[in-house]
Amino acid sequence: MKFSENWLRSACPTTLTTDELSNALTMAGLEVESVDPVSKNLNGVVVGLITKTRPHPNADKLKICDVDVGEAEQLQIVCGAPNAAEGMKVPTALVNAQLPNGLVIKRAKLRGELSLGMLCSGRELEIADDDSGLMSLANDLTVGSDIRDVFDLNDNIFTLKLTANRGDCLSIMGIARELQAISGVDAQYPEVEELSSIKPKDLSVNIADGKACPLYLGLTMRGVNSSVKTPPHILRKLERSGIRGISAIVDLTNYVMLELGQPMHAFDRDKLKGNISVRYGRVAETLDLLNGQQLKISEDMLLIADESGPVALAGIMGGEPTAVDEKTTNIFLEAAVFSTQSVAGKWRSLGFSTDALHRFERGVDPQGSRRALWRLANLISQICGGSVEALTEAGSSFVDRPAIVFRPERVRRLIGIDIAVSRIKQILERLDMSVSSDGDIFLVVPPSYRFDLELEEDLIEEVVRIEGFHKLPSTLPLSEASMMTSSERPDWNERFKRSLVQQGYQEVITYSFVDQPLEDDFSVAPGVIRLANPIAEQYSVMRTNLLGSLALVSQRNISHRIERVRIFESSLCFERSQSGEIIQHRMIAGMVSGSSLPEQWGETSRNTDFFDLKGELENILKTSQLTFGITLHKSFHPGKVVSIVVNGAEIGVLGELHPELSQKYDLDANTVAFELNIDALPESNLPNYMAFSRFPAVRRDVAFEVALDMEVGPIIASIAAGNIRHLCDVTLFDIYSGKGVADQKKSLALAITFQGAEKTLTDEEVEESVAQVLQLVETRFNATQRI
Amino acid sequence: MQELENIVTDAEHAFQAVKTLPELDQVKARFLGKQGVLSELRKGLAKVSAEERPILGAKFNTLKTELESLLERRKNDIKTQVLQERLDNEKIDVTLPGRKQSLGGLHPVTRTLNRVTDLFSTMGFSVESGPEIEDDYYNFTSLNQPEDHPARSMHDTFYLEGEQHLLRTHTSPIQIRYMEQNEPPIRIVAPGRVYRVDSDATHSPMFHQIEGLWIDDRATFADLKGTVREFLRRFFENDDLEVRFRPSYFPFTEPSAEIDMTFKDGWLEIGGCGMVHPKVLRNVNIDTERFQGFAFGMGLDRLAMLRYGVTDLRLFFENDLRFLSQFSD
Repeated sequence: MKFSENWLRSACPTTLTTDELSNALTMAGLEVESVDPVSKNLNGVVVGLITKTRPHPNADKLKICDVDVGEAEQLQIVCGAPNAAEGMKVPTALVNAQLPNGLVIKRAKLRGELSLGMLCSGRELEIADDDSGLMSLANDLTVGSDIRDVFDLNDNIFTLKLTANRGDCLSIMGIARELQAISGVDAQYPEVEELSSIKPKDLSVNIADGKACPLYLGLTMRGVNSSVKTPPHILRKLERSGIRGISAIVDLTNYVMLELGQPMHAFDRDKLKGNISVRYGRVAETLDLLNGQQLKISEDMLLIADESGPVALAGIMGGEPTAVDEKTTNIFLEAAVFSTQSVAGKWRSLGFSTDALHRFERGVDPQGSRRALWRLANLISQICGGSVEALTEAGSSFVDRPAIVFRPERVRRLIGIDIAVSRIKQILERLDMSVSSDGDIFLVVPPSYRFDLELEEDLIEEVVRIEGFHKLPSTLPLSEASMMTSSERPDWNERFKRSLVQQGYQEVITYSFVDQPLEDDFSVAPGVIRLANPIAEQYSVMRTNLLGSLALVSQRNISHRIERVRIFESSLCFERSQSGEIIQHRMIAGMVSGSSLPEQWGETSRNTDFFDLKGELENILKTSQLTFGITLHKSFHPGKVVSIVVNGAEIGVLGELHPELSQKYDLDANTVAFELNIDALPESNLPNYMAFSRFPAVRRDVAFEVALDMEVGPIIASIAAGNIRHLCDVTLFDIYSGKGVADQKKSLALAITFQGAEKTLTDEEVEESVAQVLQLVETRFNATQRI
Repeated sequence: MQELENIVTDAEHAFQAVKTLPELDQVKARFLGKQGVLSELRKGLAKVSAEERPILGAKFNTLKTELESLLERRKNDIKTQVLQERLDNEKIDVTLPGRKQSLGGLHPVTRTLNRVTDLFSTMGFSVESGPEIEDDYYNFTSLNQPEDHPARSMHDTFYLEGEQHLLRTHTSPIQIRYMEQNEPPIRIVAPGRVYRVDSDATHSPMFHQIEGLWIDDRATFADLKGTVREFLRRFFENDDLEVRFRPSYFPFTEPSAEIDMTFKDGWLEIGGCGMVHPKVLRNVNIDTERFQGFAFGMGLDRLAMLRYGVTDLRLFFENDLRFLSQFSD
């Protein structure tokens, strides 16, 4: 909502300064977004009368003018404008005057002739667009008067950012009413006279849906001169509200809407055929709108129709065929109320909004319609002439406002401060509420235009808002001291993040919606969830996995020549189960490419590989009964991938990205990644003390050969689970094949630790256990010991 | 007796001549060993007269003590010297850089989120979370956002294809879910991703909010002001930070306020808050005559921008490692 400050001040003559006014409105909940002066830097320009012109002796295109600016002496001013003529009143910039573009007028000699000022065009003053010549001023203006006063330039444009509940403030009077409550200065409504008519109304109005259109007032005026110019002071107010002048009748309609908040429409009476009805659209109807659009009417559109068909889209826009033009002499004015529901969201299907729609969406006061209609009729009759016929009326302006029970003591309870009961009553009354006392409580009836007041809390807000939020203390809440519950078991998500960061991973945050082709490359989910209204096609699918997003981040960073990329993300992923349900679970994924350590002296550089990631996961998930399973995954190298298995369930995947994908996304050929469902991780166990042996442990190194293609994991696992006496730990410390090892074989070197529970082990006991190990690997894995 | 004094001088020279402990041991044998000079002297003692024997014996003992102490001193000297040589040899170039893994780091928004939840947990707030795909009830209806509310229009909300679900537009549904399951007193903060159909220099279609909720039998609007101010002052570590509460409108609070804080020369909007709307409380079966409370919400991305001087919101979601690595610690 944009408006002229001076207009508001005429409706509520407060003594607040501009800054105070802006602050007061903002702090009452009508946020002032900006205050812009109508004219900056324009000073020293007055109304001048050209009394005499003569040709410049040294220049064909210049004239020398004598200008009366109300001083004893006339000024000689050299002027190049073609339209400069004797008897013309023009804006005259005096010596030392300042123009909006910053120019300061100096006493000058132009081609040898003295010039004591400058005659101005409208463009130069930034009050009109015309720069073809001097701005011609009205003849009745007093010579010497300041242009700032003539054009009411000592004004500011206020821009309010109104909240959705305050449709009642979409007018000057609405804001003036607020100002009345804030400042205590009464708002002044324009005086309105209900013109009498001898002629009866000549058409009737029928409303098909009283809920959608509770009230319809219509007024015919005849003998109107539509070609009259809109008075400048009205045009200025419209322009300062961002509305361009069109024609007197349309301008006045807009003017009253801005003034009183009631959108209205003027039809050319002679173009209406028969009676008016407010009804829904019918199949195959169309309407040519004022904006040039031809609208196909649908059955949920509320229309104003005459007997030949639709003439306006109710509460939104009029139709071109019945529009007022310069030749119009008879008009039909409409002041109706359309319900919020009847217009809500309509701009979406239409593709445009209007000032009327904006107001009806937020609610228009049915009890203000009559006043607005007569205000408009009064102005038209003053400016364009004409006489009225009797008012056409359908529906009712009745607004059911049940009294709200208001307990003043609830103010203290909710807000934490006492406000005197008398002050509470004063505030409510200044907000046009009717307040009656019933013992300790008030019964409050809000005004018809406040659709947002319904509950006691709403009234408390009104009181506190006007009293001022800043007057309330800031206290810290009192509460019983209690301890928060706290689990000692690790939050897996936090644990992952902490560990990964320590391993040099950088967390990233990417959009939860991705492109379908990315999903095609990385998703193994049964079904995806698509957005109905994505911001762009590449963000149209809710991601089922994080790997695709990480691939894009890797790609982007690698393109910036960053050689080591170690990234992870933790967020919800979304998929549709086979039965169609929406599943949301928290995933964490990491992706790594480049050397395992940053380049440095003293460490040989090697690429991060599968086993680096596997080790990191083994460490993080130490307490979770983690195992790895053989699997295949379309996004991973088929020979370098495992599933992450916890308690028998596959909850994730770890491996090297499929070479086709690394290539497609310009990634390092050895990019490794993991992803798992954090929600599926079991609660880990607390540490649980077990007695430990205090006797020395004995280490024996054992080496044996097995088939080259034999998997080593099961060998170590079976030793660990093989009931070997005194066994305490098995660690694989070397794998070797080549010289010294039989063809198609590899040598495994294990460090095996033994420890007695009750005593120090003897050599014989240790050897016995080693023999057990060897026997186990020989029989189960066809191993041969290396001596 | 001259002979005895010569022995001392000889030994002194001999000990000085060797540089290592094994060599010293050999020289020691020459003087103090079984076949050494002293042993020979002792044998000589047996041959002297009974009168001379005590005198010579005493001299012998003195000599022995002297030799032993000479030896000990030399031994220590050599040990010190050997250690010194070893230390000299072991010297490294301490100016070389240390060996290390690169630094990882949390995303600045996560870093901010952690800081915010840590601060609120010191005041007794627990951290809650909820689904990001929500239904109309939890995102709107339960929060007193009527059917025709502008925020419900397609313009702001992402809807799923073919059904009534949507991406949550704020973290407030978590409040509802929590209040459905828990009785007052309630003190929670709920951070998370939220989504709105909006994308330009200052808006991202996905961003982060944190929401706080305090419900008991006495929490007032003044308490809300105090809590929010306390948080902002602690968060920015600035006790002079001024916070302004400006009347506003949210369907789920009454009264409602925008939160402004001092920033540079003016006010900067940092969030919204208010007393929880009685209709919201009734929707979760909380008795509004007994219980009341406040809620507040702030943009985590905004807080992170202000805290770290980031000027463009989009940087958070571009994930350029040259940007992100500035926040590792």
